[in-house]
Amino acid sequence: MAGRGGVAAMLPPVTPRAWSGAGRGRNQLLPVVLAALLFVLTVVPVITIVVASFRPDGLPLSHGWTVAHYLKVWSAGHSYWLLINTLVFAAGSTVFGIALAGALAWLIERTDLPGADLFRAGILMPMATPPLLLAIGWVLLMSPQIGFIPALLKPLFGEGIKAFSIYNLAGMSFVQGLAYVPTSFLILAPAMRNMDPSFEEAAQMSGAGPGATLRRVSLPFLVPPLLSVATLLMIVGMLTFDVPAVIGQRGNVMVMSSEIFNLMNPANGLPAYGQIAALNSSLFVLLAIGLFVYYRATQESERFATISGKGYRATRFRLGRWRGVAAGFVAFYFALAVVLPFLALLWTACVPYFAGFQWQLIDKLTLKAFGALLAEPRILDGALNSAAIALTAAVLTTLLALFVAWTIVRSRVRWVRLLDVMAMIPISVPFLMMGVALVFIFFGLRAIPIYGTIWIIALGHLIVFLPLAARMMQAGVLQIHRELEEAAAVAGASLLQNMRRVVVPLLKPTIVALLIWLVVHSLREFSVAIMLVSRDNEVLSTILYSLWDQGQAGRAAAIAVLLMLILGALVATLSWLTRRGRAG
Amino acid sequence: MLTVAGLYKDFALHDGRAVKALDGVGFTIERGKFYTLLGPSGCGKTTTLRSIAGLEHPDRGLIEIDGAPVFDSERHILVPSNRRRIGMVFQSYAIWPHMDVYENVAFPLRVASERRGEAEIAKRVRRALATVHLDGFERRPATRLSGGQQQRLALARALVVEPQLLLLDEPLSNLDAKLRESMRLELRRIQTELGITTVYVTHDQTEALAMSDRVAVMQNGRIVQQGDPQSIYRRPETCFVAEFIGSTNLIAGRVAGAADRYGEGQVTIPGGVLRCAVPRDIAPGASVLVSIRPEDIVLRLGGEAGAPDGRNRIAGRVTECIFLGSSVDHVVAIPEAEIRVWSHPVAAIAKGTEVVVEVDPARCIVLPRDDHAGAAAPSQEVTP
Repeated sequence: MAGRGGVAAMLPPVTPRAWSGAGRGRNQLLPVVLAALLFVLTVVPVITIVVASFRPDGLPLSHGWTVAHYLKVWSAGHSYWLLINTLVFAAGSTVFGIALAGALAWLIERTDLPGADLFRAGILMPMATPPLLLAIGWVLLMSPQIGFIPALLKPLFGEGIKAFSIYNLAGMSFVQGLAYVPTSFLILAPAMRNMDPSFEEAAQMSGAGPGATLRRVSLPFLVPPLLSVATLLMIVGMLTFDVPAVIGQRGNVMVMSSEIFNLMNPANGLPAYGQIAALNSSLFVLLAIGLFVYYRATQESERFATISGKGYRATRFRLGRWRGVAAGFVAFYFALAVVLPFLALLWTACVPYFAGFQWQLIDKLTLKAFGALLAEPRILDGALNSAAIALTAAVLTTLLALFVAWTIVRSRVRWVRLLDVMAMIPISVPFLMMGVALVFIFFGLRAIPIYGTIWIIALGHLIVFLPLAARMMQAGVLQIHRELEEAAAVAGASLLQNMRRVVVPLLKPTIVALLIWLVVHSLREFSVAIMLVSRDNEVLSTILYSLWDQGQAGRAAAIAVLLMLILGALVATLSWLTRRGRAG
Repeated sequence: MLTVAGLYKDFALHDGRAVKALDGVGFTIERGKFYTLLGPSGCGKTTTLRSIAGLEHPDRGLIEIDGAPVFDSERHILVPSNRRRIGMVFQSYAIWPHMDVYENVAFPLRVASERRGEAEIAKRVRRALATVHLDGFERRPATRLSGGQQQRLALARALVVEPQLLLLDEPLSNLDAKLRESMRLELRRIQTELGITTVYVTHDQTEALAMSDRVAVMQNGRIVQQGDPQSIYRRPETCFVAEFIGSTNLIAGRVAGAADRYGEGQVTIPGGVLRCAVPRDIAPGASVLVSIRPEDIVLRLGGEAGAPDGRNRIAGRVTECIFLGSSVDHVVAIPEAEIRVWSHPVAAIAKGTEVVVEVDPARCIVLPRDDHAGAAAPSQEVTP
């Protein structure tokens, strides 16, 4: 009998705790460094805003404590109107976006829709029309004075058409909801695709008709993903600024984001930092509740996912004589989300003077506006800034996400879940709020002189895009069989050699897709940038907005068209790579 | 060559309890020997192997390779995997899909601390590939290899740096039966040719018996018996080992008297008295189990009288007779028990026939009864 004989008997017992403390320092170094970095990037901004809201002069590093800002904000009836408007806008756009995305996902994934493959290939394309451009496009399309649609429909309906306006909460929700469709589709489509058909077949064998099957079996499976999308979109909607800036400001429909923007940019004097911080902190409480719901919902969906698994060939619902109508409906969505806004912007960029849509202008269309753009130093600088920010943010976010995700998946350290939680915090912080937080931090912190430079915008993008990047990367790392890395370690590879020669090459598809995704979203991003721009660090989206705001629709539209073409090319590449990756 | 001593490791369960994955594992392997860790899943064999590789860190214990400690909890020594100079073949083969055959094998040379020229690398890669008969496949993408070829590639990669120790983690479990048999011979041939010290992990007792110089049977994080394949099979020390290695009949009985000076004693069973090999540490009167292998039993027709040669004889009746091609599997009812008997097909006896069961006393192994519950269903030992 072997066992406790020989050398073992001579070894005095060592308490496991004492042992795990020593000799493993190297294994803990990376998690500790990452935890510190994530704390600074994601926790500190939130703390800064909360602290600032209790400071008499509203700056986090000043002295004294007060609740006066909260009293001032919440004693004004105005604030409650803002809150109601904000909730209506966020809820309206979420409901519309999810309903539309859900219908599209069901038609494309679960029915015999004609052209389903084509539609699925194109579903990412609306990512090339960010909310800012979508909003400008829809103002051009729907404005009572200059709108294309009123102009075209006037002969049919007369002057009454002008009563149909988008300068209200419904119009804002419509445009914002359209912008939500790609994200929602990406989450809902797999949920529908991966549903195990045997659950539905079992229901039918038990005597349930198609309607009862959908209601009692299929929909309950979709509740968790639906809840998590809804929570995610509500958080975005609470403080998104693109649509409120373009449509809301003009229609005098104020929401929280526009209020914060106006407080940050007063006509004269210093911004009311204390009130801004108090508004943000109050909203953060609401969002924390939302996030709690979101986590509960995603936990649920994991439970469901383990039941359903993947790789099923779901039965497809026969549309019968509705096939044509359904295909028309999907095509109509693409028209609303991409084609019509793009055409409106293109027209506006090409007409010699801005006068809405008139048939007689067709002969006079010109591409001169695009040439003029290149001659303007402000726009050229803006384009270079945008490119520099996008590349920097994309590369750094990808690197950080790679290390964070790899550590979360592979590390034996017990508290590694904490990294996951910290990396996810920015999900609960709206973009605009994160912009405000960075202003609070770096306006006072002169030791790190990035305030007013493009680097503060790149940092903002890194933080707000980190949660999604970390999640995508985790999914990628999870697909690498652990033994592939262990084989490298046993073969003599150090941690860095392992990363460079095995992990990164195996993650290449994920890394490339993530880089493109990040470049696209940094280029189109507006809510963070608008908080952080000053004279020297303007980017394309903020220049575009300021031109639009000053009434220079033609030049704004020209920038918008170029931006859409660049984004479109990137999104098409991304879409092609993803499909090729799935096929291979 | 390899010394493992007093390895302990607890795994924490989700509900906060701890499972003893390793509960004092210790053994020594001489240079050039083929040593097998054998046991059911969850017995700690893979954890032991991964601890030798440095992929798991035990809570305490000592691991020495060639006299140098690579893990010593007392002196706080923990040499990382990449500096242990070990070759390892994984259960999944872990062939890197983004490299071709050549690059997979060249990898350990490329990441080594001593720099080698491209010519030197090429020479060694070719030699390793030739050893496993994969020469000519250098530029084949690793993903376009069959299971058996991937297995050979993994072996070539493990051997290319000429390591002092080779670790094999169930390398044959993903191959089909025919291929497994030929790879068994192939592995043993390469191991003998290179004279490389090898630790092999498997749950397949046939592999363990066929390939090893020594076999260690593991259960619940402990080595319960080790020895050469013959002694493990012929002289199991516990019911678990007797049942896990091969098939056996276990007959309950009671030791009737002290063993004589040849170690032979008598055990009373419901059908009579068996003369058996009784270990010295089993006292007279103890409740025991007698293990008899199905192939060690001879069936005689009821009327035939055997010579008075000291062999055990019990009367019984054949209740099943199953033809298996190369052998016949009989089930024989004896008083208060059923036993299985394997015979040559020419000696098949029809169902219902009265027979006498005949077995050599040296083939009747007396085992202590207490651990029998653990043998039937190997279970994790759980401590609060």
